[in-house]
Amino acid sequence: MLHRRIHFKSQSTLDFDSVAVSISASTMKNELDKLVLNSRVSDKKTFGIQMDNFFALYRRYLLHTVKGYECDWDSIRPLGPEDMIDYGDLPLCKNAGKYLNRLAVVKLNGGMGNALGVNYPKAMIEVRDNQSFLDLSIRQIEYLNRRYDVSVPFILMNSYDTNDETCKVLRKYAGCKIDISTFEQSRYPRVFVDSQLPVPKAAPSPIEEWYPPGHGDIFDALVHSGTIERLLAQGKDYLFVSNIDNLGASVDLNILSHVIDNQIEYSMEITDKTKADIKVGILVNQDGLLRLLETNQVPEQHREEFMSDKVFKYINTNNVWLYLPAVKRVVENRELNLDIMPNIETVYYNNEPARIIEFTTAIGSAISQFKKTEGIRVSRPRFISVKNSSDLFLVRCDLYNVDHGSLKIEESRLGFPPPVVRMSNEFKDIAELFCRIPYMPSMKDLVSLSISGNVYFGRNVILKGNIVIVASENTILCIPSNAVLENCVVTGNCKIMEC
Amino acid sequence: MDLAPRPLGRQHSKSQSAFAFDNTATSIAASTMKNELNHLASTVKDPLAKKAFQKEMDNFFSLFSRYLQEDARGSEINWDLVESPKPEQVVEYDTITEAGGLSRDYLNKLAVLKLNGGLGTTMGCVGPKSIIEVRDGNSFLDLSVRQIEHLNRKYNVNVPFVLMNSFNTDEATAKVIKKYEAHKIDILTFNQSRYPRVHKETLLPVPHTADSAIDEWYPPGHGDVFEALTNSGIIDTLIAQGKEYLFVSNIDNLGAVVDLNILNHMVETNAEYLMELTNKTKADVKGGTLIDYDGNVRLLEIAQVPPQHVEEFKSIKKFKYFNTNNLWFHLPSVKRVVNNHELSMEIIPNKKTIKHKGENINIIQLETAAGAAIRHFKNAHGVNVPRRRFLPVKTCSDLLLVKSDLYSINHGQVEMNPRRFGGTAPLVKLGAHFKKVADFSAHIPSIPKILELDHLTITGDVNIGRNVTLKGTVIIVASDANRIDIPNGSVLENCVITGNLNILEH
Repeated sequence: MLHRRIHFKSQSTLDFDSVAVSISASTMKNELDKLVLNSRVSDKKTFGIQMDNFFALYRRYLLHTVKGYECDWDSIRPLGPEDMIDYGDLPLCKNAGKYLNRLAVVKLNGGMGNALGVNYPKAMIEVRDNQSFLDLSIRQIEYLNRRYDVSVPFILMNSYDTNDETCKVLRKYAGCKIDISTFEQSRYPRVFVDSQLPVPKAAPSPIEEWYPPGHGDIFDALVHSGTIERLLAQGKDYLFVSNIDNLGASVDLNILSHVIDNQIEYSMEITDKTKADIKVGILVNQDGLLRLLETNQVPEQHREEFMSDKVFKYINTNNVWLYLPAVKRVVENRELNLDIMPNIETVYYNNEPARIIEFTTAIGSAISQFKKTEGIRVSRPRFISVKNSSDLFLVRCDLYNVDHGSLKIEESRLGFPPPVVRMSNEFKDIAELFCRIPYMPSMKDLVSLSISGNVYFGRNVILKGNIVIVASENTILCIPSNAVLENCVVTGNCKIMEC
Repeated sequence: MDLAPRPLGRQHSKSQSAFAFDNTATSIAASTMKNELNHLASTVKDPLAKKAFQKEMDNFFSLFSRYLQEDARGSEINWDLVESPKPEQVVEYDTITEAGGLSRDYLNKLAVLKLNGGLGTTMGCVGPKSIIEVRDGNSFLDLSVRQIEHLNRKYNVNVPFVLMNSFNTDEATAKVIKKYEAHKIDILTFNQSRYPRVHKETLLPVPHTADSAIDEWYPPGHGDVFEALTNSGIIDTLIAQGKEYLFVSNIDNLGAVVDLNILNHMVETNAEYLMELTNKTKADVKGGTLIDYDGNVRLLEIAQVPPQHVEEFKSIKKFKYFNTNNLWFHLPSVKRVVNNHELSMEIIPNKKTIKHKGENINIIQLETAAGAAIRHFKNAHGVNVPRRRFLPVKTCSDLLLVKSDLYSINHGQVEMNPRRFGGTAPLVKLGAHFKKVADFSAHIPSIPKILELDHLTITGDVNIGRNVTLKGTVIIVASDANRIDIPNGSVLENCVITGNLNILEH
């Protein structure tokens, strides 16, 4: 167990806080017990376990607030050669089938597409060529299964937000050579900031009184859903976990054979930081153990150093390889103590604003709880993340091709970083994005693109070099069809009316 | 004489006393002018130059006298005598035959003259219009020379190329034609007359000496070609070389190339004068046209038409053709008509205000058009030619057309792209920002592809990028302080573009 240094506090202050913690903890415990007792959920036992886990999280949160959340910066250092391995140094996989027979794949599918302006699961968003994130992921596994004559299970971790719609959509894959199953992550109660009491009074209650606790919940959820037992019974003892919206996260045979041959319990794929990677988790060494560090865990005066790409060079891709028996061990022994990320926001209940808090955890922060761990430094093509409309715009264009469900970088573009694309709020929703840019421009020679304001594109536009397009306020700027823009700034207000 | 000038229509009704007064005023103005011109001639010292100058001033005086008389009597045409031309007065190009084996013989009797008296001022240029670059580094003059050179090589003939310059263009042209010395072409030049501008109020000449400032004189229009050919001695030079026929056209008409069918037709019909006309379109309604006037073929200009009949004159149905100013002359006949003083072309008074010695003055220039001479020649008639023989470049809108993929150049001849649907040019209207050639080139440094364009209007500060394609109807309007930069590669089809679009390359 990690023993962190306690921040200096006066003894009397600490004593007072301890008493407050005890009172809050007791009160929460009572409320949760009532919830479980009064619950009418179909699986009372599972619900009870979830509330126990929530309570453990809450209690740790209370302790954190007493001890302080920030890390001990003096014990932090960048990764050394012993902490990580370069993908290029991995031996080539031989006998792929042998390794694949031990693998299962999980896609983290708990998120909705709200950030892109849609109110359905993000996995259902069309990425390109009429295929969604989910379609592409399934296509990858299906291809793998056919090619190597194996049966790698494909598993979706849903949240209560995404579960129903995902299950409907999965019916269309009934004829595919793939074993698809789902399990749900936990459902935790929101907590009022002021009273420190849970928002829901009963279970079930309206969905907005609950929240999904982040992908760090995967460990508990795998165990308590029985998924881990089923996989182990099938001889699957390795799990590859990644975000559904990371289009570069396909099964890599070299990594798979490496983690199996070396009995790695937890392997995190990391990639070089670029200027575009602000506020993303960094893998560091703390007192000899690997640890994932988020920006808000760094003391204020050290944040600039932390964000520099010279000292802390590698970011977390959230592509994680897990040894399932070790996961089972860690969960059952209650050894997981993932870093808590409190998320405070204002929501409306009965038209009244209320400040609530959610406690979430990340799968990456579990790395310090496992025995044999490592970072694998991979290249950027394994981290093609779609978090906003700019990212979606990028993956649709001619920079990439789809090969058996995997996104591949266009040959002429290999070795170059992807273009930096920044778009203003007008392009935030994907419906708006594709209304304004109905035909993908050619971007093979693009370095950077900034679009600001009420901009519309014609057909067959070609973008090269560094482009800035700014529509004047309250006006429209149309880019004509077939325009070739190269290293230029385009400004103004220009309408093109077809007649 | 059969061709003696007839009274110009019915006299307007005037009271006898008013008429008598005008007669007196006319006489006084005429004799005053005569005295002034004599005085001008006296300022020329060299006897030979003096003789030539006096000849020129005599011709001017004849013109001036005619002007006074017409002004007194009223010169409007009698509309009742105006008819559409008879079929034999305007022959269809399709009906005239090729010379066949006689081409070379006829070409040996031909000389070509380009009217090169004009400056490029309306297009913002300072020199002769003929040296404006038209396309692929070639000017109007280059293309004309190239055409004749090709003709000479192809038929192994020596068709002389003649330039009628004005005092505005002769020096610059003389420098430029040196570069053709090694070419298989015989280039001759002569100057048209230099006439004195006249004060509008006093009817006195503006210049006081023969060598006064150039802005006190004017070139009297291409109707002067007949007298200038004779006075300069060029006509005798050509006739001595066995050249009996002269093809005359504007230097800026890129479609005016030697046509063997027309040449053959002229020889075989013993026509002394041919005028090429082409079908009117809506854009040509103001052009001069041939009419049957009391049984005789005549050129009618819009300025001569009584106001109440202008709409009828513009009608495409009644007057189907307009004058291209491509003219074919029989040189011995020209010599005869000039020497017999039979020319009496309609006078076009050009009234304008000029700056003279720092002050604005109102002046009159008396001009004539070569087409008006048709009524003085035997067997004179028109030929209705295809539109391709009339490709004038008067504006930068026209320049855009001839520089584009709509046309190509073959041995100096501009030909329409056979892929152009319908074979007609699009309607192009470029605004004030494109009036001058320098501005046109700055705003449109690379000519857009317009093979499929029907109509283009550009207004305001618009810049066209490289490799732009325009199709259908395209309207681009940059209003007031706005600027529109059309990006490289754009394809604009049936659209209206407004607003402000700035592209700053970095």
